[in-house]
Amino acid sequence: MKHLTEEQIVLHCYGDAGDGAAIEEHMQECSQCREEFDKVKVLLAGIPAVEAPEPPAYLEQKVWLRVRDQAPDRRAVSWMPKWAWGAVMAVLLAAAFLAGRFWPRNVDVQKPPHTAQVSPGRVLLVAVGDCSMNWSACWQRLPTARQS
Amino acid sequence: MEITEAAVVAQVLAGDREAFRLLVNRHTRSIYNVAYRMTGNQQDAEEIVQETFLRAYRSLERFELRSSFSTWLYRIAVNRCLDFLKAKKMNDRYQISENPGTEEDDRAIQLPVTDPGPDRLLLSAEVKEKIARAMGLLTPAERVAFTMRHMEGKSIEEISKTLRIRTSAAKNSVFRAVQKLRQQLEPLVIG
Ligand SMILES: [Zn+2]
Repeated sequence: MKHLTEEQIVLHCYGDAGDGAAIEEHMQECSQCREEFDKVKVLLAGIPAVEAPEPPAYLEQKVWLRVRDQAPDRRAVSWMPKWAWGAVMAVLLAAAFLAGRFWPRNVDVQKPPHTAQVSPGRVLLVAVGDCSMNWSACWQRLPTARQS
Repeated sequence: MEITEAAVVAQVLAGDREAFRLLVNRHTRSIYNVAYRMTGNQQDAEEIVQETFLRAYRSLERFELRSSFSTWLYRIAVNRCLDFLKAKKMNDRYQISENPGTEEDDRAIQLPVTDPGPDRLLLSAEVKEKIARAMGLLTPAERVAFTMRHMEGKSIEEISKTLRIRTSAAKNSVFRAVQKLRQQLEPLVIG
């Protein structure tokens, strides 16, 4: 007679062996496998579900405070998906580049010569250029800036 | 009228962060129990509870409003436990290799066979301690699967869904766990 495997016996204790009827049938006739099955059953019955002690005081409060402190405020960042921020930044960058390129650069001769002349377009270009040097920092700053 | 959890989630997603607090208050205790069962340690359980809620909040967009929030949260918690146990195992292994010779003595389970009785485990504090130690010898996957099946009464299907493994792998983890526990604990059964 082919005996049950240990795996069949163990899983049958939980009703997970799959071929439960065949296992039962075998154990009707085979005292050796029945004994083995009973042994495992007794052992498992003796392993109680672990009861957790009282959780620390104010655990809910602690959990909530950590979520509040470490998780983003959805109002600040979630109204527009991240890819949309990317698109907006790309458009701004392109606009700044074109503005910087085509903005008229006629020097106003009536102003005193020591006053530096910088066109608004160039300011924007420099700002964006500056930003693109440190793109990730800018990226981080954008939603944060909205928060504040 | 009690507000449904799906409605609370929707509220949080709409920007009402405070609403999440309701979910924290409602589920902290049960997640703590799960984490304690899996780790057997209060501090670890507390840490896992915190990480679970943080993870849940951050990935709330992925929660399907039709499904059960507690099941979704439970799955996150179990996977946090699994990751935690894996990391701990790695750390232990590192510490053992740094400090060889002490671990075997500490982990060997000497089972009492002095008090004959009926066919049952003697569930003294000492035996409970030995069960806890035997649980500590399981691999993280075995421990998690066994705890879910044996202590939480979860089905093999639920285990496989939670851990994203095949049902055959879930069954195998439960079997391996019981096999190891037998080796460690069977001498406790007075026959
Ligand atoms: Zn047999």
